[in-house]
This record gives sequence, structure tokens and C-alpha cells, in this order.
Amino acid sequence: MQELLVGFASLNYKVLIMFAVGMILIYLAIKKDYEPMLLLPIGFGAILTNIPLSSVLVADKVKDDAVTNLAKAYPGVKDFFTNNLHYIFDASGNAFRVEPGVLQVLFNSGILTELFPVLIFIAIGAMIDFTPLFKNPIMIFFGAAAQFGIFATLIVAVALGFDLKVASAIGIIGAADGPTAIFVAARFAKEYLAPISVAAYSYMALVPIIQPPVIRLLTTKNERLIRMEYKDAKVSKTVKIVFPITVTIVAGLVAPISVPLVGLLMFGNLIRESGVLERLSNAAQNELANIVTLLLGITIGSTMSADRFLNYKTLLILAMGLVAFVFDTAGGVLFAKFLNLFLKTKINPMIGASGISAFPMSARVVQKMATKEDPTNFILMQSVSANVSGQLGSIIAGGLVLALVPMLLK
Amino acid sequence: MTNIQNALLVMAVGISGVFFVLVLFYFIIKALTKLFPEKGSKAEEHGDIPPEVV
Repeated sequence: MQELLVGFASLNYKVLIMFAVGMILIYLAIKKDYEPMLLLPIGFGAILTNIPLSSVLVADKVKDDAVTNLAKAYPGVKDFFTNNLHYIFDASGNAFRVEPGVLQVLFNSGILTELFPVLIFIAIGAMIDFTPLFKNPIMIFFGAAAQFGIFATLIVAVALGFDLKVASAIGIIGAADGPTAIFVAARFAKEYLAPISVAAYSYMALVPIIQPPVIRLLTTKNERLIRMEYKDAKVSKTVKIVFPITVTIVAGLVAPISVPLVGLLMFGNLIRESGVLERLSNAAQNELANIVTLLLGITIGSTMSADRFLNYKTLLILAMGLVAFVFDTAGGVLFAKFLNLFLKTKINPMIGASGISAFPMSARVVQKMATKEDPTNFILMQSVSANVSGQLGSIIAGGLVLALVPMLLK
Repeated sequence: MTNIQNALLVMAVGISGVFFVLVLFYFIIKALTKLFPEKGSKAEEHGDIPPEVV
């Protein structure tokens, strides 16, 4: 009987708080429709991992006398066994070989290896249509300007005491791109992977709430009323095919470390645009995207253990995620206003805010704001162009951060 | 260098790098759309469109 009650006996207030956190994420996913594909699995994974003595992370522990004796004779080897060979040590110094549970297996094979984020990039690439960008290539610069939030947040994080690698992973929330955030966090800040991922996906869902006040604060009514002419140019299939190949080579030469991100995004896009791989394109957009998203979400949720998640640094990270999105929006809008100082034909500065990678939400938000000011003002196509370029900008920014930070820390 | 100095350097190089790469992509797009125009527009340019049958 006692064995049946051991789970209840192990409950504490931290576990109950994490249950509540998981349920809040599930509520936001279902009731508010905030990125349900990620927040629901993350929320449920958080509940699973915090059930006391649950075997989702640790299926079994087997005492290893040989390693116990070795660690007692040479205490320095403990870290090696813990970090590399899945051993844990109890208070008495006994070594236990851990048999990983199902979510730990998924974490080891999908997150530590960065497999899940790059597979998602194939799916995203297969879903992206760069045609609006080809028709309005000048909008590509807003995809660069709106990455400002990444670097501004990096500085804020360093000022708050995080080391450069962790601060970079926190700043990447500003990429507004879940897979990029997970990719960088898995390399630079494994211990903060959960709050960084939760922040990235939550704030992406909150773009319709975050961006409008920032845009209104930084623009005048006259600026929001600016109309932009749309010239519908024709784009050949050859351009759509050659573009992903060229971008992969160029981006790879500039930042080789970004090749898994850029290369697989462009691979997905090439599958789509080739016109001869409809089955693979459909599979990438549907089956691959759905399966990997499902596994990715629950695996990230499994990292939200109470001891790791419930500390003030997690709250700081969640707050800085908001800072990142605000700075992104401000960066894009202010860049557009700066350009307007030199341009005869003015750009509606709201379009700068669409340069973040939250596609297509940000473009819709900007069009909605334009329509509110003037129901006959249509800037959707320009916003979509900027939004699509944000996808490129965020991956390039992620690649550059991955390349620069280790160089500076050598 | 201190952490803050490193962070400012990452910001300077990072933002410049993103702009630099996207400028490259801008020129790539411009070059590709010039080199491989849509078939219809090429015919229009060279006056190859057959006359309408009235």
C-alpha cells in the first residue's frame, strides 16, 4: 500500500506550481489558440516530467560498484561520468547508471543532436513562398533591421549578469523563430532551453498584442496613412529554383556554421519549387512538420523540471523575450523612418515591423493597423515581402551569433 | 575584453553581418530576375507575341 502512495508522498509545492504552469500553457493553446501546436505538447510535457518519481526521464537506475569505487578513489571523474555516460551519484557517493526514459531518449536524439530543429526547417522551407520578396526585393532590408532585438537583448542579458553564450541564446528569442532559438539554445544554453523555447513560441503567438502599441508609439498618424504602390511583377520558375541553391552557397560561405539552418530551409524550399517532388513537398509540409513538431514540443516540455524552471533567472528570461520582440519591432519601424529621410516615395514605416520572422502573423497585424487608419490602404503584399525576408534574416542572425560568440570566447 | 564589450562587438558585427548578407541576397534576386525573366515578359520585349486574330 505504501508503494502506491509514494508518488503522493513526494508531492511538494514546486511540483504543484509546475503542474499549474503546464496547465496554463495548455489553456493558452486550446482556449486562446496561442501556437497550440507547440504550447500544448510543451505544457503536457511539463506535467509529465514533474510527476514525482516519473520514469519519463529516468526509466531505471542500476548501481554500478566499479564506478562507485573509481569515483571514491578519484573524485575528479564524477563529472565525466555524469556529463557523458548518464551516471548520477547519490549523497553517499554511490554511482548509478541511468537508463533513459522515453522523453530523455527523445531529448538525447532530437535536441542534443539538433535534429528536430533542422527537420522543422525542411518543413518550413517547403511552406515558404519567396515570390512576394522577388516582386519587392527592396523589402529584404527590413528583414535585417527587425533582427535588432536579438542583439539589443543580448546586451541587456549580459548587463543582467548572464555570460555571453547564455545571453546570446536569450537574445535569439528575438529571432521570432522557434527552431533557430532551439538550435542556438541547445548549443549555448542547454540548461535554459525550456524557458527560451517557451518564451520564443509564446511571444510569437502574442505578436498581435505586442507589436501594435510599439508601432503606434513610434509612428505618427500621417506616417501610418502612407500608401504604397504595388507593382505586380512576374517571376519565373527558374528564379524560384536557382534562388535556394544560390542562397545556401552564399550564406554557407559567409557563416559555415549556419549551413544546417540555411541549407535545410532552402532544401525544403527547393523541393517545393522544383515542381517535380510534389509528394515530398506535401510530406515535408504535413507529415514531417506534424510529427517533428509533436515530438519537439513534448521533449521541450520534459526539460521544464521544477528545480530547473522555478528560479528568478527563468522569469528574467521570459521578461527578456518580451524585450526582444519590442526591440525587433522598434528596429524595423525606426529603420523605415530613417530611410524615409532620403526617399522621395515614402515607405509606410509600419512595414518595418513586419521584418520579424513571425510569418504570416506580423504581416497581418500591419495590414490590420493600416486598414484601421484607412480602410482603402492595402500594404499587405509589401508587409508579406518584409515578413518573408525576416525568415532569412533570423537564420542569418542565428548563424552569425553561433560563429561569433565562440570566436570571442577563445 | 569584458563581457559587455564582447556583447557590443557581437551586436556591431552581427547587425552589420545580417545587413551585408541580405544586401547580397538583394543583388542575387535582382540578378536572377534579370537573367531569368518570366517567359511572357521576354516575348513581349522581343515583340514575338503573335498578332491577335480578329
